[in-house]
Amino acid sequence: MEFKSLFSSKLMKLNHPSQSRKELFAEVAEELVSLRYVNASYQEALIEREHSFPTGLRTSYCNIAIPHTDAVHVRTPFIYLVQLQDELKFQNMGNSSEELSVKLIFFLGITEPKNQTILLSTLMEHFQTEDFSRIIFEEKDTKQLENKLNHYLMGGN
Amino acid sequence: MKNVIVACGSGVATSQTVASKVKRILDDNKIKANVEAVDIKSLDSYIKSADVYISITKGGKEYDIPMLNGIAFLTGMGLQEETEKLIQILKN
Repeated sequence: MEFKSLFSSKLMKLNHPSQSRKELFAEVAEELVSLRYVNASYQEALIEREHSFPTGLRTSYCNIAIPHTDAVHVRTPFIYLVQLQDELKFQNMGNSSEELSVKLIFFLGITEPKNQTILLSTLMEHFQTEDFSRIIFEEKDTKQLENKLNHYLMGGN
Repeated sequence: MKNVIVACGSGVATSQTVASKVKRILDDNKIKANVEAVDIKSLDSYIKSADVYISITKGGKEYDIPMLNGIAFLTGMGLQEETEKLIQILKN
């Protein structure tokens, strides 16, 4: 599985208005079901998992969240990126009593935990650079973002 | 050989990613140890044979082995400090 092929303009919402985490999860889950990336059980499992084990993260330049759930609900590996118009609250993974305001959300679809760590580790490594964080934070066009991310992940600037 | 245990909610994404990062760090520092990612439900049975526990979520049970902050290995924030602690523990 090549990480760079995982960012697709079809699996992105940019400058997306969303009132609540619940609404956003439902919207993304429904789309992933209809695209056959996940099973119908995904949405409930995702919400439950986020409730028990929150996924908000502080990175060097911005807060992000990486909602995900057990592999059994996922058919094909994916990253679904949402750049929100307005921040939503996510609890901090490392300290669930703390709430983080999050504008970038990466829904991770993982089918083989041991073999797909590259997915999350590459993402986290790039978030330590300002350029990468800024590209994802600012780009408003999905096709442009797909091109920029693929270019970036292949070692360009 | 010493055992390092990493635990997260389901053992799907975070603990596996942290475990592979920790393995790379240990390789780079030429330290041999077993690194295992587990889900938090089976932590109790693994912890007995572990020398250090890398935790992702705060507020879980306390154990009588050294505990490190797993988020640092994930995001790189505070990584240097946790790496030094890990190496110190495994060298002793």
